[in-house]
Amino acid sequence: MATYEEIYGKRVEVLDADPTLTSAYEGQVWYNSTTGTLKSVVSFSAWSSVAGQNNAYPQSYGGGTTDAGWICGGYSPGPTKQNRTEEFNGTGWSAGGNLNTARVDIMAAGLQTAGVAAMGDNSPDSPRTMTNTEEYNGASWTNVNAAPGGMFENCGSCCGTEPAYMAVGGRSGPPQSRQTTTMEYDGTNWSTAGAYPAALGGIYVSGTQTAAIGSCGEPPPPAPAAVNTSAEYNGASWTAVSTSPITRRSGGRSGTQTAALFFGGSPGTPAGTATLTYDGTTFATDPASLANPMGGQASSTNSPGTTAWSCNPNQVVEEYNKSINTITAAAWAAGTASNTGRYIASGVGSNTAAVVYGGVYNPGTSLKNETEEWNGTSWSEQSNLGTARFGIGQGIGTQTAALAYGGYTTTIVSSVEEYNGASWTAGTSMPAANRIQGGFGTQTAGVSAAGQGSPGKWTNSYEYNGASWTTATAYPTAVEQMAGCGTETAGLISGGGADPGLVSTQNHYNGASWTAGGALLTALAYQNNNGTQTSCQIIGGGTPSYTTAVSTYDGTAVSTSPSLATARGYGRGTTTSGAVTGAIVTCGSIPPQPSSNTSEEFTAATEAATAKTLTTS
Amino acid sequence: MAHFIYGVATNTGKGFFTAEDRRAFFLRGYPGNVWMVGNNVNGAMWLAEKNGVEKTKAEAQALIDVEVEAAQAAWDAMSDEEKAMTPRPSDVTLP
Repeated sequence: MATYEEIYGKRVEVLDADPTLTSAYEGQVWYNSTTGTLKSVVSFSAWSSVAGQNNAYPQSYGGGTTDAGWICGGYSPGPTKQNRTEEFNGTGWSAGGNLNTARVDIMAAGLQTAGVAAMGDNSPDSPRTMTNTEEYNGASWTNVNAAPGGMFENCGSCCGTEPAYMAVGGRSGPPQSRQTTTMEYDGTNWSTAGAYPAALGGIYVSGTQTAAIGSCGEPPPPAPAAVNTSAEYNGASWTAVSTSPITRRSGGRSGTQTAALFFGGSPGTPAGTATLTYDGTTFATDPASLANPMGGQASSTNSPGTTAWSCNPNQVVEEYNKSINTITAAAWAAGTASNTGRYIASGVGSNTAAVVYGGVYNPGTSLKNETEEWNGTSWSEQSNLGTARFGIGQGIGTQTAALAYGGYTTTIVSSVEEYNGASWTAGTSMPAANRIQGGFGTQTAGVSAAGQGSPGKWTNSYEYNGASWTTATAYPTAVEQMAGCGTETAGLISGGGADPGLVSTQNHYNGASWTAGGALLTALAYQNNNGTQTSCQIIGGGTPSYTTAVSTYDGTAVSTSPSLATARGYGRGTTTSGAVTGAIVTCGSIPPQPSSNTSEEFTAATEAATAKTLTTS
Repeated sequence: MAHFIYGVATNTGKGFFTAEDRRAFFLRGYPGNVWMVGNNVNGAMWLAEKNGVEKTKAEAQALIDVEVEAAQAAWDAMSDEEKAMTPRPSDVTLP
């Protein structure tokens, strides 16, 4: 009998304790002499949640891989056809280039830099069937030759990438009956290829233009709502193969003909959550299921059979990984409530050492001087501000060296107080009265940007060195109620309210001047910024309605991040930790409460190799 | 199958929903202690464990509407200074 070493090239080891695990340990078997257990590192599959897309657009489809995916088109409420594209980077979504032609049910597949968006549905306009074809280069869409026919209501029925893309089946018309048509696109021209064995819509199609697998689908009425038949394509014709153990239609797919993944779909459960693998011969049920039922969803098209993403129109996205690592997704959870309900407060610090101060409570318009510290576990009351006020400038300092600058009492004020972790003392007043400024930096190297002075919003900005204020370069826009983070020489200000309306702009400060940064996903104010200029978490806020949305900024571009459970404006707490560490937000407005004391805490994602105990069976 | 179930439950603070819950099912809170929960086993169990009372989508929407209208009335009664610093609560429509 062959030994384990002869088969896998690794000898079974005897160790006192489990080793520090890395990918090099995959397949390694060891006996833990302390616990008396035989262990190994083996790959396993799992779905994990990731940040939802920025827009909830039903019937938007896309493709790509788990670290470079995309979706396009779809309906927004109305229904209004959309031309929006969103790009997925493995953790979140950001805005991409717009389609030239808005539509839904697009036959979308291909790499993010070589994507194809073909055909689709023109409903509620006529005729429904569209033949438009566009190519995506990762930044913009280009119109190319139209398809020889149209397809819609055909989720998941295309594969490949430019210049070797294909689409199968679907509805076309009038009379809008199911089709057997296979269409191929070579980067310039379209051709019609071998017919699929049955007229179906919503076939799960995975692979390439010369080696694809099609499975399941929806036959024309009054036939059953779905079938489980399958066929392989060799570039010229389809050949029936084994049937799928689950009958369904219109789901997600990824991989190749010999390592395909099929997941979710309709109707019902298990169709909506089950994952199947296909190895070129047989289907098998994967142990991992989607946590959230998905049907008619967008998915990756070009990932290998070990990874995939699936997203439904409700901004629910899950990612599949088969590896030795346990992936624990980032998430917001209900946190420990602070003691004082309020909003338009200020706060600074890290996820384990933050301080929140000032604000106002409504109803009743009760100004707050309370100061509360967060130690990573609980909130505790500290010495009060000398002057109760709200609209204090945001984001300068730390828990042991915070700054309360400006604000509103019965009028806009210029007064400053400094906190040392125990008590507040008077600081040097600002050169002018102002409130609801953005800010960043420390108590001895801080920047106050724009805000509301007298009269109204202005661009005035100031630097504070712990003893005196000096006039800084004016902020590019007269804006208020924005948020900032970072340092005096690498600061960031995001969004805010201008005249008229909110803005999506972000600006970087280098200690001397302002330059434009990447735009927010939407115009935003009243949010909390947490992190640095190149790793910032933008939490909640208003658009102007308060939102659950959270995004991250890497110094260049903004992408979505796991959302709060409850929409919150003026949340305050962490300003210096960033998305990779953790966060807490408390207070603020949570409609219908204008002055909440509830909190949410953020736990960052982790990924770690995991040992499995081997047992006999 | 519907993507969501709707219910009313009182947020009791830390532990009311955990990071594990957020990974296991979709969850979003709305005015009136209304929660929209992903329609899977984990979501349904969470609502039950929180002594939540399941509502139809229409019932949940009605509860939200009442709360939003009250919040809008409260905002309308605010001083101009405060109105300038916070948006008027907008209507909320369950997806």
